[in-house]
Amino acid sequence: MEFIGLNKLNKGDRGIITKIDESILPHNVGLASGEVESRLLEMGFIEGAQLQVMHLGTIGRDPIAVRINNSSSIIALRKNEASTIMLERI
Amino acid sequence: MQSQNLANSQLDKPKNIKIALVGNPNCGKTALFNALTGSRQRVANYAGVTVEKKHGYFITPKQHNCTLIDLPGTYSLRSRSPDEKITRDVVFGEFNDETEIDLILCILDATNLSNGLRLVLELKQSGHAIIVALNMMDIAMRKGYKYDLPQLEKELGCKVIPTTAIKKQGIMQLVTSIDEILPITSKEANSWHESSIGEAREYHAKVSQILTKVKLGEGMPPKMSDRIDQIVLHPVWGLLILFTVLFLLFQSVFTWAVIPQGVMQDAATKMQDYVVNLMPGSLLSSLLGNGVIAGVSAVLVFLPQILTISLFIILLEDSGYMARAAFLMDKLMGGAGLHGRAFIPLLSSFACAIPGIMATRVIENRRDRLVTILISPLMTCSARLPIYTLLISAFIPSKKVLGWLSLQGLVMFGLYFAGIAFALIVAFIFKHFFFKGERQPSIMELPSYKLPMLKNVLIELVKPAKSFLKRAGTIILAIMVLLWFLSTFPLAPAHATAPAISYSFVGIAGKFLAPLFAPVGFSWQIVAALIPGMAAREVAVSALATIYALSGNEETVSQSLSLMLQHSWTMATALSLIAWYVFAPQCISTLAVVKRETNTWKWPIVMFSYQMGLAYAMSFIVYKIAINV
Repeated sequence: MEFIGLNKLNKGDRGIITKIDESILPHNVGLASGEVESRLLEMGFIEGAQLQVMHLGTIGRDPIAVRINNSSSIIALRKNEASTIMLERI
Repeated sequence: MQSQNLANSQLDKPKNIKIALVGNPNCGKTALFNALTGSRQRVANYAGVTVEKKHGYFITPKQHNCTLIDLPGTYSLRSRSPDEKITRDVVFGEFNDETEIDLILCILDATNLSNGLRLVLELKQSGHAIIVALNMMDIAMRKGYKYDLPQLEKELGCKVIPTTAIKKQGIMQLVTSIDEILPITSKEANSWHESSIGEAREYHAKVSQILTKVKLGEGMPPKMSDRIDQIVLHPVWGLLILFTVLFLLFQSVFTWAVIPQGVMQDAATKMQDYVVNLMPGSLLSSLLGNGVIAGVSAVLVFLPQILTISLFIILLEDSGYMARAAFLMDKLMGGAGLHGRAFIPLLSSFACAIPGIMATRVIENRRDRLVTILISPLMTCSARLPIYTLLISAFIPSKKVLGWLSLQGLVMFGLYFAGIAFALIVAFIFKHFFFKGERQPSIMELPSYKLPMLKNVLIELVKPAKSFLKRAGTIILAIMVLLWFLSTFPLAPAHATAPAISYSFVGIAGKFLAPLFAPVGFSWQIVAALIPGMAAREVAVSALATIYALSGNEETVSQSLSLMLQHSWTMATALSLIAWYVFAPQCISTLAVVKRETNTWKWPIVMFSYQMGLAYAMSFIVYKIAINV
């Protein structure tokens, strides 16, 4: 089984979230522990949800816009936070 | 006997009901607020926070007087700053500025139910009665979303009313349902606590359980929206479209809004002249003309720009494009430590910092908003142009550099550049030294595109204009009259030789403060001119003309002033004054608007102090270099 960080996906790629883990955050921006994970959970990211990468920013493919579970809206997040979301490609 | 009757009639009279309107961002909350209350709205400030207190009023069929409180859009009741805490505090009745609520109206996006349902589950723990408005039903039906509403009501334990707020559908049912659950006799105890990460996951599990029971049809993602995004968020075309939009915005604020402004200013000047000449030399006509009329026009003159920029922002927000623009600009602005949305206020600040600072309302996060507010006056606004033009044409030789570049033009460009460069430095310093520990990851929703509704746009357009006139306008007017007083009294002696202003408080202050400004090369006349120049940057030109006792029409004054300055100032002084105007807080209206927008005197004082310090330091450096070269 191969798991990959959301920050490494290309436009159009799909995956199922296997793990959201704040401890792998590359640059901790000085937030209280658990804050990034809580934020992601609040915005609809959860283990088992299906993601599709819709758009990537022009510079450095950052930020990343994804659709969660066929929802009507799209969620954009920075690469830094996206790297805490691990997926299994589908 | 009479008092008893009164008491009885009060008992019969239905109680006033207070309702909190809560929901995720982008679910149509403002549209529902407007649909329920129409124009019966009142906007004020809460003490100590930048969030506005938005109350709307409506009456139910059973004559209950309802006060609806529009609370900021949120995904949960957790909070990290006083601004974010408001929703929770109002819901829990722990907010000093708001009495206990009777009822929660929670609005959900029917096309994006899971985020909203988690909020409902959290709100239920407050113990309050809840009514759910399942909004955007028209889109949901078109996309194939189907829900078992009675089952959803059972699962949530509260009324669920389908609505399409933007088309005013379901509003009557919503209002009737309020009547149905009144009177609320008992409230359960508040059992809310901030959920741990584990509990947040439990909410998800609970919501998906509910959804499997109530979802009868799975909707399709919005195809049209996706197709638009293929172009609008394209790495190349997307940026081109964004720059076109920004160019239009800049054009409209800088060029088109200036036309009615010019008309207003001309009219004001004519009225001013007329009133002053009504009784020449009388103090009353001088107060009315140079104090009151000048003050009122100084306030009104900002309206065209504020309305223009507000219209742009409302259209961008309502259509859903604003989030896309922020997505495209995020990396660029983020590199400077700014929010992706900060480009709108900063761009507007090139025309004028007043609409720019008001436009920072597009930034929800308090820290990001404050940083943007603080640096916006460093963007070279159009009011600096008269003084730049005067000084550059008087002191910078009109010759060519490298054969084709105009030296005067180059200096002008340098002034714009210096403003931007220092804005970025100041933003960096504020972000890293003053707002530590308030940082947030930027995770934002890109809602599907929607057509803005005219009525909503108009209701929203009136709000910033009203709040500017009512609250910033009064401060500006008061200070304009004060400045008139300071530059008029004490009156000049009967056989005065110098211009009258030099005998006034302004003249006295100029002479008193002159030693302080000697290191940067300013004479007492310059210092004195800077004081009335606080009214607006362009006023400094006429203040200088007054102090050097020049008269005539605008053109001859500016020509002779230019000559006069060449004779009485050194090159070093002129350059120092130019540098001063890049950085100095020479605009009282900006400070008044910062007070209004941040709802405290703290931030205007911070802004005034850092700009003053920066201006003094830069003028000092420029002056010292210039006299030694």
